[in-house]
Amino acid sequence: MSHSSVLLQMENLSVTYFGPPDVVAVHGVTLDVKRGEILGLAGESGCGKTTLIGALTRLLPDNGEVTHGRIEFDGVDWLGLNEREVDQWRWTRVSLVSQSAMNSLNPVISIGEQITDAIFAHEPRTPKADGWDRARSLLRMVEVDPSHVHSYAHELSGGMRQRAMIAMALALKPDLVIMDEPTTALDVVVQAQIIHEIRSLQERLRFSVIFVTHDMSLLLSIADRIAIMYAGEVVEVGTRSILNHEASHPYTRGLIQSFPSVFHQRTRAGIPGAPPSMVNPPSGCRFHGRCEERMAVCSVYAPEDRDLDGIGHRVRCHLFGDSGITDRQPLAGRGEGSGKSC
Amino acid sequence: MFYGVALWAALTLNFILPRLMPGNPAEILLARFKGRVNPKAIDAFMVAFGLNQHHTLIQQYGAYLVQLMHGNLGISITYYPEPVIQVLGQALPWTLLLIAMATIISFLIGTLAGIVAAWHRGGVFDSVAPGIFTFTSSFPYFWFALIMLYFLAYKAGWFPIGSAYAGNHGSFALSNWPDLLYHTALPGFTIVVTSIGGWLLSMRNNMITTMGQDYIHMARAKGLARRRIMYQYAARNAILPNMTGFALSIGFIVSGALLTEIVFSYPGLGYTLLQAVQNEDYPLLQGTLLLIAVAVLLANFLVDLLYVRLDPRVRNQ
Ligand SMILES: Nc1ncnc2c1ncn2[C@@H]1O[C@H](COP(=O)(O)OP(=O)(O)O)[C@@H](O)[C@H]1O
Ligand SMILES: [Mg+2]
Repeated sequence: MSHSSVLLQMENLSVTYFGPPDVVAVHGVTLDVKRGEILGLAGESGCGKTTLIGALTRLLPDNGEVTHGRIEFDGVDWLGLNEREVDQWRWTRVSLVSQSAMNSLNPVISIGEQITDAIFAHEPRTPKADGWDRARSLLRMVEVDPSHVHSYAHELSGGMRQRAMIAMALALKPDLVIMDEPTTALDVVVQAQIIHEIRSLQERLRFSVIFVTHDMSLLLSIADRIAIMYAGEVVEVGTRSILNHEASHPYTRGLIQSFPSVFHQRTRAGIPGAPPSMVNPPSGCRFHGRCEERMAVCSVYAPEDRDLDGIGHRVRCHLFGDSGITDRQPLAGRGEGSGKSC
Repeated sequence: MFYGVALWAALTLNFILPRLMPGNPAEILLARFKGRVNPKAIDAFMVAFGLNQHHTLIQQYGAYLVQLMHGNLGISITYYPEPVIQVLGQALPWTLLLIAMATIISFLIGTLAGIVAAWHRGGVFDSVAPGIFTFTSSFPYFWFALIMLYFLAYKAGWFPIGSAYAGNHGSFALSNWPDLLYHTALPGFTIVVTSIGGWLLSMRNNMITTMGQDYIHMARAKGLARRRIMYQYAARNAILPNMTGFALSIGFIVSGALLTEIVFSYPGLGYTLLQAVQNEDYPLLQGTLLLIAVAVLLANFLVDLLYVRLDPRVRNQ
């Protein structure tokens, strides 16, 4: 086990859902997760967030496949492990909290049984009673009455169910907890409580979190670093404060402006247009059709990642490209898409 | 509650139906009895069954219910002077042995096969089993049963031609079981073969739907053993609609099973019903139908109890 500060490293990762039609849902994603940080992953729905998580957990649907790139988890080639090894790593190293706790809990077996089965699967020598004691204290930890080990999903409120899911995710003290829109299904008040709970647990137990959402304002309040996804690509990564104050990619800026802020009285500006088709992604930069600052080059050449400050504020946009590329003129006959309205 | 109402409805229908039949059942009976049975018995029967013409319908109905409560279903004409209740008491165990066993076996095997087929979707078993059993389930039952009887029992002599036991009297003594199973095997087989496909296909579909659920994804993410995911997560949920289907079809199963008994001369309720009809034995007919109705209700009730055990969501209601 290495002691590098990086827990998880994705390099140039691409995922395709084989069709017809084939969908390249994740395209050339390079991203890392540091130990003990909350990495936010934001983007409109359909941009490939869940697919990226599928690749990370190695739980893609049958027609989905990592076609390119590598994932290194704690120094180990994650995609090279066989199913058996992956099963051993699951929940002990990486666990999952998903959007709908109602649907993610088995309706016919008790909460306690669903917590303990993970414990017994990975620590088979644990005595029964100890497993159940642990389930109780896990529930206590997320402020759910421990007697609910005997409850079923339908007997709990939405907030309690999501807390139970979090308790379950922490049962084996994983290094990384992936949360896919964990609060989307909850009302605002409960959402705030759950966010608070996640934050305080994370500060105490120091696990890493990938927090997926389409709610940028939420990330600006919880994440240490934020990655912005657009049409299967990560277009910008940076710390929370960088993204808050120096967001660079036109899409990121649009996202930040698209939610109303109580303090700045900003109005909902939004980003004109709709996300592009993932079956036939636009040529060049995938955002060029909706971009207000697009240049001739944008519809022709795909921009490359560029580290703006040398310490990880990375942007994929021609505005910040080498001057050599920015000045290039579109090749004849290849810039059809550029003239279209957005 | 529901079962109380249903039971009452069954009892009442059983009272009304014979009275709706053309002609007066009492007169038909009297005509048939003349000279065969002593008049005293006829009177007793008339009173016992509330067919006394000097009473109003309501009074007859009251008398009928009182008789029922005492377990008095009248006296069989076919098996005179045996009381109907006694005739039924002799037939019922055989029906239970054959029908209940064959149906449960069919349900269990079909369900299990559905689980396995869905879990290994597209595998060898999945591409063979559903096809075969859909095919066998499409056989017209009567035809299939007769063919089996003709070839396997009559021609080949591997199975008995009829009855549920060797000799004149069946008994459930332990030493008799090999013989009982030997007699049950062929009729049971025809039931299983023609009904298993339905369970298999519906369970397979339920499983496939269930396997797309988030909690299955979650169970995989937890790194649980495949076996546990397959049974405790997928099958445990997928079987619920199958149980409902089972409860709904108990009526059909029983009526189909009556046919089995008739084809195989199996001395259960179906066979008794046939005897009753052929001999215009109204008391026996009524009693048999009533018992079948009650049995179907009871079976439904048991399935319901089991369902409640399997699905916590219906428990606190
Ligand atoms: N099983 C699948 N087969 C084919 N396409 C899929 C499948 N799952 C998702 N997609 C497509 O992949 C893209 C990304 O989806 P997803 O990762 O769920 O996005 P997000 O989680 O950001 O909303 C979408 O265009 C979606 O339609
Ligand atoms: Mg999603």
